[in-house]
Amino acid sequence: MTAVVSVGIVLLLVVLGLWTVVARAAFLAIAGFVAYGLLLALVWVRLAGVDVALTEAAIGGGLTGALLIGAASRLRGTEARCEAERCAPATRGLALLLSALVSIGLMVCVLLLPDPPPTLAPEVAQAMPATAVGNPITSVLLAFRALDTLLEAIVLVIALIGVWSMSPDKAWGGRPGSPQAVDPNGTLAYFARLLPPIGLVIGVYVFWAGADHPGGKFQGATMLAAMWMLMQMAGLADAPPVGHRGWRAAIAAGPLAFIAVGLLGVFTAGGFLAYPEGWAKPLIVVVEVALMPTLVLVLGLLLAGPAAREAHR
Amino acid sequence: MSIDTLAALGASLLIGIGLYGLIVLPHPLRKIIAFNVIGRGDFMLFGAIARRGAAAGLGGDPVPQD
Repeated sequence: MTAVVSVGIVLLLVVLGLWTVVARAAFLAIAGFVAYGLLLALVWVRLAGVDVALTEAAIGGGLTGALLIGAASRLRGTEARCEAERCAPATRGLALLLSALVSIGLMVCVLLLPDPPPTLAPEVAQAMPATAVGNPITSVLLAFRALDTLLEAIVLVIALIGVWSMSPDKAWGGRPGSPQAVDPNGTLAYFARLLPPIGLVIGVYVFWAGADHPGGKFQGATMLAAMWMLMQMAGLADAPPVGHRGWRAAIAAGPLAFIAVGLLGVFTAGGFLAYPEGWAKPLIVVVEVALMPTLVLVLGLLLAGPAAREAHR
Repeated sequence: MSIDTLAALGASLLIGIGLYGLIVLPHPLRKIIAFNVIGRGDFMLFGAIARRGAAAGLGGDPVPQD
């Protein structure tokens, strides 16, 4: 029974992947892409990667979809012009041949993978008690491969700088987006009052549960950012001006705290991002708590976009 | 066929589909979407290979999942 479901999900995924490529309008392709992200989350659950499944559903399905829809509505007028630049049939044929070769090559590699498979799972299971964290993914993310997580957090901040740099000169330092004029008694405003308390509790729970169960700061932060966005869309909250020093400091604080913990390791444990004996769990909690607000702010502000309203000086 | 082989084969197909879209589609936004189809396919391939590494009571090798 589960085999039938798995085959069905994978087939549906391939069809959705095809749809995102062949759909005529960008909006249709994005709808397919969001569904693709949500189905992928199911595949991740079947692959025993529940942490990744949560991230995939929250970031892949939700956040990326919202970003793409925003981009598509800005680029609405440009699609027809690009249609005129369609590739010649010969190019399409070559592209098809190349893609087929890549797919078949990967499939052959997959079928020829070594057996028994190489794995680091026993090493992780053996070293995990030293981190005092119950979720193996979290101990990899924040202890054994903490450098990856540090760089991920920094990349997000750089992405936000990239988005902000798209601001027109006269709006620089101002607030992103246009002010929302929403009916204060409408459905949107109603949901924006009803959902955030629930979303806040679930987001913080997912964040805290990440120590011993699937979850963690990325998944929790996405939920909190979504609640913030909902309130902004309903006009109950406004995005901060991008030039505000306090907000910028709050964004930089997370990665800086992570780097500080890393440097502490140089002096106390003999290596960057090394944790002294018995201090792993408290330091991991410090890093997680410091990164959480940064992630909420960066994810929310990425969605809000570049500054669009003139700053009041 | 086990779930990891199935997922890995599906992921290989998706990478090919995304690559075709990336080359052929003229609109930049569509290229970005196609590129993301490739990226997700890559992750899925990685996850499927990690699933094969299930050992020591863990459902999969946790290192690739990071």
